[in-house]
Amino acid sequence: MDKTNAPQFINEIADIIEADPQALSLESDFRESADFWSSLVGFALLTFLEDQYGQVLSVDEFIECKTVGDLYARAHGKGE
Amino acid sequence: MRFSSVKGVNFSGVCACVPANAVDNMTSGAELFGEDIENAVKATGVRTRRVCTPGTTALDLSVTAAKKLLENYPISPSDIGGVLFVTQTPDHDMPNNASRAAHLLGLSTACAATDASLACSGYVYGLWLGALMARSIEAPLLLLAGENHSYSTSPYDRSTALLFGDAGTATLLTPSASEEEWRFGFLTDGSQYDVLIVPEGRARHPFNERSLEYETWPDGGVRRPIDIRMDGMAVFNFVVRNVPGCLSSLMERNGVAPEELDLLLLHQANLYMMKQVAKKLKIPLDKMPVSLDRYGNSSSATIPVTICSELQKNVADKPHRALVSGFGAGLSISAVLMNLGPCVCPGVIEYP
Repeated sequence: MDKTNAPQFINEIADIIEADPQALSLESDFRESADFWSSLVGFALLTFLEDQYGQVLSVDEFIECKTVGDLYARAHGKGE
Repeated sequence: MRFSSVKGVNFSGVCACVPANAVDNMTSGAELFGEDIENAVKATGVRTRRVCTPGTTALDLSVTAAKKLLENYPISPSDIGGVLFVTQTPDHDMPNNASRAAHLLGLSTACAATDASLACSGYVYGLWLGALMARSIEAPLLLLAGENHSYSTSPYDRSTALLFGDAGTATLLTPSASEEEWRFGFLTDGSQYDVLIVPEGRARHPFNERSLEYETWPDGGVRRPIDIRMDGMAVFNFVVRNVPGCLSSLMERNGVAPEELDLLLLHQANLYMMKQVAKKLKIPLDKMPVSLDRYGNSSSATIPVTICSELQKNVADKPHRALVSGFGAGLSISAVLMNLGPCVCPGVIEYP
C-alpha cells in the first residue's frame, strides 16, 4: 500500500483526536493517543473518512480499527 | 440559509448574571461517571457550571443583569420602548416573561413586550428581532436572554448531566443613524425536532402523573419525561455538517474573508464541537473566546455570557469584526456578521 501521504494523514488524525502530531505514528493506538476519547471524536473520525476518502465504515468495522494505520488502510479501501 | 440585513441599530451594552452557586463537575458527576469522570469533563469542556438554587429563575437573573446594565448606561427605564425575552424556561406558560420584566424594570406601560421561544440559536435571533423592533418603535429595546435548564436536566443522564448551566443576560439595542449593517443568516431543520427535546409537559404530551418518574430509556439515559433528552451524535452531526458551510456562505455573500474577522463568537455548546467548527472555517482558536468551562451551556445566554466574561475590556473601546453564531434545538442555526463594540459592559455579576 502506498504510504506517501501517511504523514499528512497522521497530521489530520492528530488534529481530530487533539493529539501531538509529533507523537503520533501509524502504529499509535488512536483511542489511547486521543487527548480524551468520546463518541464525538469517534464520529469525527468516521466523518473524516467519509468526507475525505469516500469510505463509509460500519460501527463494527470502526471498532476493529485500533491504530492510525488501521484507519489509513480503511481510508485507502483496504480492510484488515 | 435565509438571509436578512438590518441597519440603524446600535449594540449599546450587555451584562450577564449567573447564580452564585457553582457546581464542580468532577464532584457532581463522580457517581454517575465513576473513573470516567475526568474524560467526561474533558469531552464536554465544562469544569464548573452555575446552577440556580430553588426559587430562582432565569427571569430573576435576566432582570438583575438588566438593572446592572441600566445603572451603567445613561438611560432612564421610561425611555425604553420594548422588551424581547428569549427563553424556553419562562416563569409561567402564561403570562410571558417579557411583560413581568418590563414592570420589574420600571418601564412605562407604553412598551411592546414579548417572549421568543428559542434555544441555542436564540441570542442571534434576539439580535435580529430586537433590532427590527427597536427600529420600528424608534426607541431603545432590552433584549433579555436567559435560561434555567438545570430544573429540567436529569443528574442521572450521562449525555446531559454535566452540560447545562443557568444564566440571565441583558443587551441594550438602541436605534442609531449608523449605516452599518448587521447581516444575518438562518437555517431551520424541523425534521430533527426530536433530537433535542423536552418530551412531556405541554400540549403534545400533557403533564401527567408519570411525568415526574425517572425511567431508563433505550439510549441508556435515566430521565423523567420532563427532562431534556439529547441525541448528542445527531446534534454533533448536524452542527459539523451544516454550521461551517452556513457560516462560509454568509461570509462569502458579504465579501468577508475569515482572516478579516477579529472574533468568532460561537454558542458554547461543547468545546470539542466548537473547535471542529473553527478548524473547518480555518479561523484560529485564539479568535474564539470560551466561557463554557466555567459557566456551562446556558442555551441562548451563552453568547452574551461569553462577551461579558471574556471580552469585557475588549468591547469597551473599539469595534471588533465579529461572526456570531448559535445552533441547537429546532434544529436551528442563526448567524450574524456585525461589529461588536464599543459598548457598555459591566461584565458577569452573581445572584444573589
